[in-house]
Amino acid sequence: MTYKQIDEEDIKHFRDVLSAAYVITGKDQLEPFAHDYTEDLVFVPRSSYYRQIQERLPP
Amino acid sequence: MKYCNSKHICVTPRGAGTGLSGGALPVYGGVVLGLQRMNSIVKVDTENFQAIVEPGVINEVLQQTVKEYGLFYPPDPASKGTCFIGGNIAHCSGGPRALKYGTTRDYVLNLEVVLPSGDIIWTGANTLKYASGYNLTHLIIGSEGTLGIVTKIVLKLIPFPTQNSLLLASFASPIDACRAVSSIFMGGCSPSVCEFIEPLAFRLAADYLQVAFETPETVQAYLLIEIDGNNGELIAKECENMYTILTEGNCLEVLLATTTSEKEHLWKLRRSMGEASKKSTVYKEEDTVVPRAQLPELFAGTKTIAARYGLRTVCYGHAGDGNLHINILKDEHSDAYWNHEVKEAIKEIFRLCISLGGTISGEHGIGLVQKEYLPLAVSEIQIDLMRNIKRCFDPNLILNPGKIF
Repeated sequence: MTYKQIDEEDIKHFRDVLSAAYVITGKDQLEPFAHDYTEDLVFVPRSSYYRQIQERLPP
Repeated sequence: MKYCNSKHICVTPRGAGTGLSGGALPVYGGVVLGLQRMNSIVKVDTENFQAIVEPGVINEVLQQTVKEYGLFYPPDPASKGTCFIGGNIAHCSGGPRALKYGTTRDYVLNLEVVLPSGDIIWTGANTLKYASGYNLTHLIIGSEGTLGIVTKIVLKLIPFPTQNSLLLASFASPIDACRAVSSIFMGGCSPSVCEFIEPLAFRLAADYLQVAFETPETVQAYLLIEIDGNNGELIAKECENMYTILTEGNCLEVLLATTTSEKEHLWKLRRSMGEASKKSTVYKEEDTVVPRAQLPELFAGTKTIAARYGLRTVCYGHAGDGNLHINILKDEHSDAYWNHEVKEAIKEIFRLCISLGGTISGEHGIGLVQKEYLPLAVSEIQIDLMRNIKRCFDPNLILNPGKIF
Protein backbone atom coordinates (compact mmCIF):
# COMPACT_ATOMS: atom_id res chain seq x y z
CA MET A 1 0.00 0.00 0.00
CA THR A 2 1.36 3.41 -0.93
CA TYR A 3 0.21 6.68 0.54
CA LYS A 4 0.70 10.29 -0.36
CA GLN A 5 3.68 11.72 1.47
CA ILE A 6 2.90 14.80 3.50
CA ASP A 7 4.22 17.99 1.96
CA GLU A 8 4.36 21.61 3.05
CA GLU A 9 0.92 22.31 1.61
CA ASP A 10 -0.59 19.59 3.81
CA ILE A 11 1.20 20.89 6.89
CA LYS A 12 -0.02 24.40 6.15
CA HIS A 13 -3.57 23.03 5.89
CA PHE A 14 -3.26 21.23 9.26
CA ARG A 15 -1.85 24.37 10.87
CA ASP A 16 -4.66 26.49 9.45
CA VAL A 17 -7.27 24.11 10.84
CA LEU A 18 -5.67 23.17 14.15
CA SER A 19 -3.27 26.04 14.84
CA ALA A 20 0.48 25.72 14.61
CA ALA A 21 0.85 24.75 18.27
CA TYR A 22 -0.93 21.46 17.69
CA VAL A 23 0.95 20.35 14.58
CA ILE A 24 4.34 18.79 15.25
CA THR A 25 6.84 18.22 12.47
CA GLY A 26 10.28 18.54 14.04
CA LYS A 27 12.33 15.35 14.11
CA ASP A 28 13.09 15.55 17.83
CA GLN A 29 9.49 16.36 18.69
CA LEU A 30 8.25 13.42 16.62
CA GLU A 31 10.59 10.93 18.29
CA PRO A 32 8.20 10.10 21.18
CA PHE A 33 5.55 9.17 18.62
CA ALA A 34 7.87 6.73 16.85
CA HIS A 35 7.68 3.91 19.39
CA ASP A 36 5.53 2.45 22.13
CA TYR A 37 5.98 -0.18 24.85
CA THR A 38 6.46 -2.90 22.22
CA GLU A 39 10.01 -4.24 22.17
CA ASP A 40 12.37 -1.93 20.29
CA LEU A 41 10.37 -0.94 17.22
CA VAL A 42 10.76 2.59 15.82
CA PHE A 43 8.67 4.20 13.06
CA VAL A 44 8.83 7.97 12.71
CA PRO A 45 5.71 9.74 11.43
CA ARG A 46 5.91 12.68 9.05
CA SER A 47 3.81 14.83 11.35
CA SER A 48 1.65 14.57 14.38
CA TYR A 49 -1.29 16.63 15.41
CA TYR A 50 -3.73 16.80 18.21
CA ARG A 51 -6.40 19.06 19.41
CA GLN A 52 -9.14 19.32 21.94
CA ILE A 53 -12.32 19.00 19.94
CA GLN A 54 -15.46 20.95 20.70
CA GLU A 55 -17.73 19.55 23.34
CA ARG A 56 -20.38 17.24 21.92
CA LEU A 57 -22.84 15.64 24.25
CA PRO A 58 -24.07 12.14 23.52
CA PRO A 59 -27.55 11.76 22.06
CA MET B 1 -9.88 13.05 8.56
CA LYS B 2 -11.82 14.35 5.58
CA TYR B 3 -8.70 16.07 4.27
CA CYS B 4 -6.45 13.04 4.80
CA ASN B 5 -9.02 10.75 3.21
CA SER B 6 -9.31 12.93 0.12
CA LYS B 7 -5.51 13.19 -0.20
CA HIS B 8 -4.85 9.53 0.67
CA ILE B 9 -2.65 10.42 3.63
CA CYS B 10 -2.52 7.66 6.24
CA VAL B 11 -3.44 8.42 9.86
CA THR B 12 -2.36 6.47 12.93
CA PRO B 13 -4.35 7.24 16.08
CA ARG B 14 -2.32 7.17 19.27
CA GLY B 15 -3.20 7.08 22.94
CA ALA B 16 -0.57 6.84 25.65
CA GLY B 17 1.66 4.53 23.59
CA THR B 18 1.56 1.78 26.21
CA GLY B 19 0.44 -0.91 23.78
CA LEU B 20 2.35 -4.17 23.52
CA SER B 21 1.64 -5.09 19.90
CA GLY B 22 2.87 -2.03 18.02
CA GLY B 23 -0.68 -0.85 17.31
CA ALA B 24 0.14 2.85 17.64
CA LEU B 25 3.23 2.82 15.42
CA PRO B 26 3.03 4.77 12.15
CA VAL B 27 4.52 2.05 9.97
CA TYR B 28 3.67 3.90 6.75
CA GLY B 29 4.66 7.34 8.07
CA GLY B 30 1.94 9.91 7.51
CA VAL B 31 0.13 11.53 10.39
CA VAL B 32 0.00 10.42 14.01
CA LEU B 33 -3.18 11.65 15.63
CA GLY B 34 -2.37 12.12 19.30
CA LEU B 35 -5.37 11.97 21.60
CA GLN B 36 -3.61 12.93 24.84
CA ARG B 37 -5.28 16.34 25.05
CA MET B 38 -8.74 14.87 24.83
CA ASN B 39 -8.54 14.00 28.50
CA SER B 40 -11.76 15.27 30.07
CA ILE B 41 -14.03 13.29 32.29
CA VAL B 42 -17.12 15.00 30.89
CA LYS B 43 -19.63 13.64 33.37
CA VAL B 44 -20.07 11.10 36.14
CA ASP B 45 -23.76 10.18 36.11
CA THR B 46 -24.47 8.86 39.60
CA GLU B 47 -28.13 8.16 38.83
CA ASN B 48 -27.42 5.86 35.89
CA PHE B 49 -23.99 4.63 37.07
CA GLN B 50 -22.33 5.92 33.93
CA ALA B 51 -19.36 8.08 33.00
CA ILE B 52 -18.82 10.05 29.82
CA VAL B 53 -15.14 10.46 29.07
CA GLU B 54 -12.76 11.44 26.31
CA PRO B 55 -10.24 8.89 25.01
CA GLY B 56 -7.17 10.52 26.57
CA VAL B 57 -8.34 9.98 30.15
CA ILE B 58 -5.85 7.85 32.08
CA ASN B 59 -7.41 4.62 33.32
CA GLU B 60 -6.36 5.16 36.95
CA VAL B 61 -7.57 8.77 36.93
CA LEU B 62 -11.01 7.55 35.92
CA GLN B 63 -10.92 4.83 38.59
CA GLN B 64 -9.99 7.32 41.30
CA THR B 65 -12.57 9.87 40.14
CA VAL B 66 -15.52 7.48 40.11
CA LYS B 67 -14.38 5.96 43.41
CA GLU B 68 -15.13 9.31 45.03
CA TYR B 69 -18.76 8.67 44.10
CA GLY B 70 -18.63 5.11 45.48
CA LEU B 71 -18.45 3.74 41.94
CA PHE B 72 -16.09 1.32 40.25
CA TYR B 73 -14.60 1.04 36.77
CA PRO B 74 -12.98 -2.41 36.96
CA PRO B 75 -10.74 -2.87 33.85
CA ASP B 76 -7.22 -2.36 35.23
CA PRO B 77 -4.37 -3.20 32.86
CA ALA B 78 -0.88 -3.26 34.38
CA SER B 79 -0.20 0.13 32.80
CA LYS B 80 -3.31 1.67 34.39
CA GLY B 81 -1.26 4.58 35.75
CA THR B 82 -0.42 5.77 32.24
CA CYS B 83 -2.64 4.03 29.67
CA PHE B 84 -5.68 5.80 28.20
CA ILE B 85 -9.27 4.64 28.09
CA GLY B 86 -9.13 5.13 24.30
CA GLY B 87 -6.26 2.64 24.03
CA ASN B 88 -8.09 0.25 26.37
CA ILE B 89 -10.99 0.33 23.92
CA ALA B 90 -8.70 -0.16 20.93
CA HIS B 91 -7.37 -3.39 22.43
CA CYS B 92 -10.27 -4.43 24.66
CA SER B 93 -7.93 -4.35 27.65
CA GLY B 94 -8.53 -6.55 30.64
CA GLY B 95 -6.15 -6.77 33.57
CA PRO B 96 -6.26 -8.84 36.74
CA ARG B 97 -9.85 -8.01 37.73
CA ALA B 98 -11.26 -9.02 34.35
CA LEU B 99 -11.59 -12.43 35.99
CA LYS B 100 -14.59 -11.37 38.05
CA TYR B 101 -15.68 -8.17 36.35
CA GLY B 102 -14.97 -8.69 32.64
CA THR B 103 -12.93 -6.68 30.14
CA THR B 104 -13.33 -3.19 28.67
CA ARG B 105 -16.02 -4.51 26.29
CA ASP B 106 -18.29 -5.20 29.25
CA TYR B 107 -18.23 -1.54 30.34
CA VAL B 108 -18.62 0.38 27.08
CA LEU B 109 -22.18 1.41 26.29
CA ASN B 110 -21.77 3.92 23.51
CA LEU B 111 -19.00 5.52 21.47
CA GLU B 112 -18.65 8.68 19.50
CA VAL B 113 -16.50 7.77 16.52
CA VAL B 114 -14.97 9.83 13.73
CA LEU B 115 -14.95 7.69 10.60
CA PRO B 116 -12.18 7.91 7.99
CA SER B 117 -14.65 9.83 5.81
CA GLY B 118 -14.83 12.52 8.51
CA ASP B 119 -18.40 11.60 9.40
CA ILE B 120 -19.14 11.46 13.11
CA ILE B 121 -21.42 8.77 14.54
CA TRP B 122 -22.59 7.40 17.86
CA THR B 123 -22.38 3.62 17.71
CA GLY B 124 -25.19 2.65 20.07
CA ALA B 125 -27.19 4.05 22.95
CA ASN B 126 -26.48 4.93 26.58
CA THR B 127 -28.37 1.87 27.74
CA LEU B 128 -27.51 -1.39 29.44
CA LYS B 129 -29.38 -3.29 26.74
CA TYR B 130 -28.99 -2.87 23.01
CA ALA B 131 -30.76 -4.90 20.34
CA SER B 132 -31.15 -2.38 17.56
CA GLY B 133 -29.26 -3.92 14.69
CA TYR B 134 -25.60 -4.88 14.53
CA ASN B 135 -23.65 -3.84 17.61
CA LEU B 136 -21.23 -1.31 16.16
CA THR B 137 -19.98 -0.44 19.64
CA HIS B 138 -18.59 -3.92 20.10
CA LEU B 139 -17.19 -3.90 16.59
CA ILE B 140 -15.15 -0.79 17.33
CA ILE B 141 -13.88 -2.23 20.65
CA GLY B 142 -10.76 -4.25 19.88
CA SER B 143 -10.48 -2.90 16.33
CA GLU B 144 -7.12 -1.33 17.21
CA GLY B 145 -7.82 2.07 15.67
CA THR B 146 -8.36 0.62 12.19
CA LEU B 147 -12.07 1.44 11.77
CA GLY B 148 -12.57 4.86 13.34
CA ILE B 149 -11.25 7.27 15.93
CA VAL B 150 -13.06 7.14 19.25
CA THR B 151 -13.61 10.66 20.55
CA LYS B 152 -16.11 10.13 23.35
CA ILE B 153 -17.04 7.14 25.45
CA VAL B 154 -20.05 6.30 27.58
CA LEU B 155 -19.01 3.78 30.23
CA LYS B 156 -20.98 1.61 32.60
CA LEU B 157 -19.96 1.79 36.27
CA ILE B 158 -20.77 -0.50 39.17
CA PRO B 159 -20.77 -0.02 42.96
CA PHE B 160 -17.26 0.00 44.43
CA PRO B 161 -16.51 -3.12 46.46
CA THR B 162 -15.46 -1.77 49.83
CA GLN B 163 -13.39 -4.65 51.18
CA ASN B 164 -10.85 -7.14 49.92
CA SER B 165 -8.32 -9.71 51.03
CA LEU B 166 -5.13 -10.49 49.17
CA LEU B 167 -3.46 -13.91 49.45
CA LEU B 168 -0.12 -15.11 48.14
CA ALA B 169 0.08 -18.89 47.78
CA SER B 170 3.38 -20.59 46.99
CA PHE B 171 3.86 -23.95 45.25
CA ALA B 172 6.79 -26.29 44.74
CA SER B 173 5.36 -27.26 41.37
CA PRO B 174 4.10 -24.74 38.78
CA ILE B 175 1.82 -27.44 37.39
CA ASP B 176 0.17 -27.80 40.80
CA ALA B 177 -0.29 -24.03 40.87
CA CYS B 178 -1.93 -24.12 37.44
CA ARG B 179 -4.18 -27.01 38.51
CA ALA B 180 -5.16 -25.17 41.68
CA VAL B 181 -6.64 -22.37 39.57
CA SER B 182 -9.46 -24.60 38.31
CA SER B 183 -9.87 -26.18 41.74
CA ILE B 184 -10.53 -22.74 43.25
CA PHE B 185 -13.55 -22.22 41.00
CA MET B 186 -14.72 -25.82 41.23
CA GLY B 187 -14.60 -25.39 45.01
CA GLY B 188 -17.16 -22.60 44.82
CA CYS B 189 -14.84 -19.61 45.20
CA SER B 190 -15.12 -16.59 42.92
CA PRO B 191 -12.00 -14.47 43.42
CA SER B 192 -11.70 -11.06 41.82
CA VAL B 193 -8.06 -11.78 40.94
CA CYS B 194 -6.12 -15.00 40.40
CA GLU B 195 -2.65 -14.38 39.02
CA PHE B 196 -0.01 -17.00 38.26
CA ILE B 197 3.54 -15.76 38.83
CA GLU B 198 6.89 -17.51 38.40
CA PRO B 199 9.50 -16.62 41.04
CA LEU B 200 11.78 -15.17 38.34
CA ALA B 201 9.08 -12.61 37.52
CA PHE B 202 9.00 -11.52 41.17
CA ARG B 203 12.81 -11.36 41.28
CA LEU B 204 13.04 -9.26 38.10
CA ALA B 205 10.36 -6.90 39.40
CA ALA B 206 12.07 -6.59 42.79
CA ASP B 207 15.41 -5.81 41.10
CA TYR B 208 13.72 -3.30 38.80
CA LEU B 209 11.97 -1.55 41.69
CA GLN B 210 14.99 -2.01 43.97
CA VAL B 211 12.87 -3.48 46.73
CA ALA B 212 13.20 -6.67 48.73
CA PHE B 213 11.24 -9.77 47.84
CA GLU B 214 12.51 -13.17 48.87
CA THR B 215 11.68 -16.20 46.73
CA PRO B 216 12.79 -19.41 48.51
CA GLU B 217 14.40 -22.05 46.28
CA THR B 218 11.64 -24.53 47.08
CA VAL B 219 9.03 -22.23 45.54
CA GLN B 220 8.50 -22.64 41.80
CA ALA B 221 5.26 -20.73 41.37
CA TYR B 222 2.90 -18.35 43.15
CA LEU B 223 -0.78 -17.58 42.91
CA LEU B 224 -1.77 -14.03 43.87
CA ILE B 225 -5.45 -14.17 44.80
CA GLU B 226 -7.82 -11.36 45.73
CA ILE B 227 -11.30 -11.80 47.14
CA ASP B 228 -13.45 -8.69 47.25
CA GLY B 229 -16.96 -7.63 48.23
CA ASN B 230 -18.79 -5.59 50.82
CA ASN B 231 -19.18 -8.12 53.61
CA GLY B 232 -16.05 -8.81 55.67
CA GLU B 233 -17.45 -12.00 57.18
CA LEU B 234 -18.23 -13.49 53.79
CA ILE B 235 -14.78 -12.55 52.51
CA ALA B 236 -13.17 -14.19 55.58
CA LYS B 237 -15.24 -17.33 55.02
CA GLU B 238 -14.20 -17.46 51.36
CA CYS B 239 -10.55 -17.02 52.40
CA GLU B 240 -10.91 -20.06 54.70
CA ASN B 241 -12.45 -22.06 51.87
CA MET B 242 -9.66 -20.90 49.58
CA TYR B 243 -7.02 -21.95 52.12
CA THR B 244 -8.48 -25.47 52.27
CA ILE B 245 -8.58 -25.79 48.48
CA LEU B 246 -5.03 -24.51 48.06
CA THR B 247 -3.68 -26.78 50.79
CA GLU B 248 -5.37 -29.79 49.21
CA GLY B 249 -3.75 -28.69 45.95
CA ASN B 250 -0.21 -29.12 47.32
CA CYS B 251 0.30 -25.49 48.21
CA LEU B 252 3.39 -24.91 50.39
CA GLU B 253 2.17 -21.83 52.19
CA VAL B 254 -0.59 -19.21 52.03
CA LEU B 255 0.30 -15.69 53.15
CA LEU B 256 -2.34 -13.06 53.82
CA ALA B 257 -1.45 -9.43 53.14
CA THR B 258 -2.68 -7.84 56.35
CA THR B 259 -2.00 -4.16 55.70
CA THR B 260 -2.66 -1.78 52.85
CA SER B 261 1.08 -1.28 52.36
CA GLU B 262 1.63 -5.05 52.05
CA LYS B 263 -1.10 -5.22 49.44
CA GLU B 264 0.35 -2.24 47.56
CA HIS B 265 3.81 -3.80 47.67
CA LEU B 266 2.56 -7.01 46.07
CA TRP B 267 0.54 -5.12 43.44
CA LYS B 268 3.46 -2.85 42.62
CA LEU B 269 5.65 -5.89 42.03
CA ARG B 270 2.97 -7.57 39.91
CA ARG B 271 2.36 -4.49 37.79
CA SER B 272 6.09 -3.96 37.17
CA MET B 273 6.80 -7.41 35.78
CA GLY B 274 6.45 -6.43 32.11
CA GLU B 275 8.72 -3.43 32.38
CA ALA B 276 11.13 -5.39 34.58
CA SER B 277 11.44 -8.14 31.95
CA LYS B 278 12.07 -5.52 29.29
CA LYS B 279 14.82 -3.90 31.33
CA SER B 280 16.56 -7.22 32.04
CA THR B 281 17.12 -8.27 28.42
CA VAL B 282 15.62 -8.09 24.93
CA TYR B 283 12.44 -10.12 25.05
CA LYS B 284 9.23 -11.06 23.27
CA GLU B 285 6.01 -11.03 25.23
CA GLU B 286 3.26 -13.38 24.11
CA ASP B 287 -0.30 -12.98 25.35
CA THR B 288 -1.58 -16.55 25.19
CA VAL B 289 -5.01 -17.49 26.45
CA VAL B 290 -6.63 -20.91 26.88
CA PRO B 291 -9.64 -22.26 28.78
CA ARG B 292 -8.32 -22.15 32.35
CA ALA B 293 -8.45 -25.94 32.89
CA GLN B 294 -5.90 -26.24 30.05
CA LEU B 295 -3.43 -23.92 31.80
CA PRO B 296 -1.22 -26.80 33.11
CA GLU B 297 -0.79 -28.14 29.56
CA LEU B 298 -0.04 -24.67 28.19
CA PHE B 299 2.57 -23.98 30.86
CA ALA B 300 4.27 -27.39 30.59
CA GLY B 301 4.19 -27.32 26.79
CA THR B 302 5.64 -23.80 26.66
CA LYS B 303 8.56 -24.80 28.88
CA THR B 304 9.23 -27.89 26.73
CA ILE B 305 9.18 -25.85 23.51
CA ALA B 306 11.38 -23.11 24.97
CA ALA B 307 13.90 -25.69 26.27
CA ARG B 308 14.11 -27.27 22.81
CA TYR B 309 15.11 -23.87 21.38
CA GLY B 310 17.45 -23.12 24.28
CA LEU B 311 15.32 -20.14 25.29
CA ARG B 312 14.53 -18.96 28.80
CA THR B 313 10.99 -17.87 29.56
CA VAL B 314 9.34 -16.12 32.44
CA CYS B 315 5.59 -16.58 32.77
CA TYR B 316 2.99 -14.66 34.71
CA GLY B 317 -0.52 -13.54 34.09
CA HIS B 318 -4.20 -13.75 34.64
CA ALA B 319 -4.46 -17.45 35.38
CA GLY B 320 -8.11 -17.29 36.35
CA ASP B 321 -8.85 -16.19 32.78
CA GLY B 322 -6.43 -18.76 31.34
CA ASN B 323 -4.43 -15.74 30.11
CA LEU B 324 -0.72 -16.45 30.49
CA HIS B 325 1.85 -13.83 29.50
CA ILE B 326 4.91 -15.68 28.26
CA ASN B 327 8.04 -13.56 28.11
CA ILE B 328 10.77 -15.14 26.00
CA LEU B 329 14.17 -13.75 26.99
CA LYS B 330 16.99 -13.23 24.50
CA ASP B 331 19.76 -13.40 27.10
CA GLU B 332 23.09 -14.12 25.36
CA HIS B 333 21.71 -15.46 22.08
CA SER B 334 23.02 -13.89 18.88
CA ASP B 335 20.74 -11.55 16.93
CA ALA B 336 20.66 -14.01 14.03
CA TYR B 337 19.58 -16.89 16.27
CA TRP B 338 17.08 -14.73 18.11
CA ASN B 339 15.50 -13.24 15.00
CA HIS B 340 14.92 -16.59 13.33
CA GLU B 341 14.50 -19.16 16.09
CA VAL B 342 12.27 -17.16 18.39
CA LYS B 343 9.64 -16.89 15.64
CA GLU B 344 9.65 -20.66 15.24
CA ALA B 345 9.32 -21.12 19.00
CA ILE B 346 6.46 -18.61 19.12
CA LYS B 347 4.66 -20.44 16.30
CA GLU B 348 4.95 -23.70 18.22
CA ILE B 349 3.64 -22.09 21.40
CA PHE B 350 0.74 -20.55 19.51
CA ARG B 351 -0.09 -23.87 17.80
CA LEU B 352 -0.14 -25.52 21.22
CA CYS B 353 -2.34 -22.74 22.56
CA ILE B 354 -4.81 -23.11 19.68
CA SER B 355 -4.84 -26.91 20.01
CA LEU B 356 -5.94 -26.40 23.62
CA GLY B 357 -8.92 -24.30 22.53
CA GLY B 358 -7.16 -20.97 23.04
CA THR B 359 -5.94 -18.12 20.90
CA ILE B 360 -2.87 -15.95 20.37
CA SER B 361 -3.92 -12.80 22.22
CA GLY B 362 -6.22 -12.29 25.16
CA GLU B 363 -5.80 -8.55 25.71
CA HIS B 364 -2.75 -7.11 23.94
CA GLY B 365 -4.17 -7.26 20.42
CA ILE B 366 -2.58 -8.21 17.12
CA GLY B 367 -1.25 -4.83 15.99
CA LEU B 368 1.96 -5.04 14.04
CA VAL B 369 4.00 -7.65 15.86
CA GLN B 370 1.47 -10.48 15.99
CA LYS B 371 -0.10 -10.14 12.56
CA GLU B 372 2.14 -12.74 10.93
CA TYR B 373 0.77 -15.25 13.45
CA LEU B 374 -2.92 -14.37 13.02
CA PRO B 375 -3.49 -16.98 10.27
CA LEU B 376 -2.55 -19.63 12.83
CA ALA B 377 -5.55 -18.62 14.94
CA VAL B 378 -8.22 -17.59 12.45
CA SER B 379 -9.22 -18.96 9.05
CA GLU B 380 -8.79 -17.25 5.70
CA ILE B 381 -12.57 -16.83 5.60
CA GLN B 382 -12.48 -14.97 8.94
CA ILE B 383 -9.62 -12.76 7.76
CA ASP B 384 -11.54 -11.97 4.56
CA LEU B 385 -14.56 -10.99 6.64
CA MET B 386 -12.35 -8.70 8.73
CA ARG B 387 -10.83 -7.16 5.58
CA ASN B 388 -14.31 -6.54 4.16
CA ILE B 389 -15.43 -4.88 7.40
CA LYS B 390 -12.32 -2.71 7.24
CA ARG B 391 -13.17 -1.66 3.66
CA CYS B 392 -16.75 -0.76 4.67
CA PHE B 393 -15.45 1.68 7.27
CA ASP B 394 -12.30 2.77 5.48
CA PRO B 395 -12.45 2.20 1.70
CA ASN B 396 -9.17 4.07 1.12
CA LEU B 397 -7.43 2.13 3.91
CA ILE B 398 -5.96 5.30 5.42
CA LEU B 399 -6.60 4.51 9.08
CA ASN B 400 -3.83 2.75 11.00
CA PRO B 401 -2.58 0.74 8.00
CA GLY B 402 -0.36 -2.28 8.44
CA LYS B 403 -2.12 -3.55 11.55
CA ILE B 404 -3.97 -6.80 12.34
CA PHE B 405 -3.82 -8.33 8.82
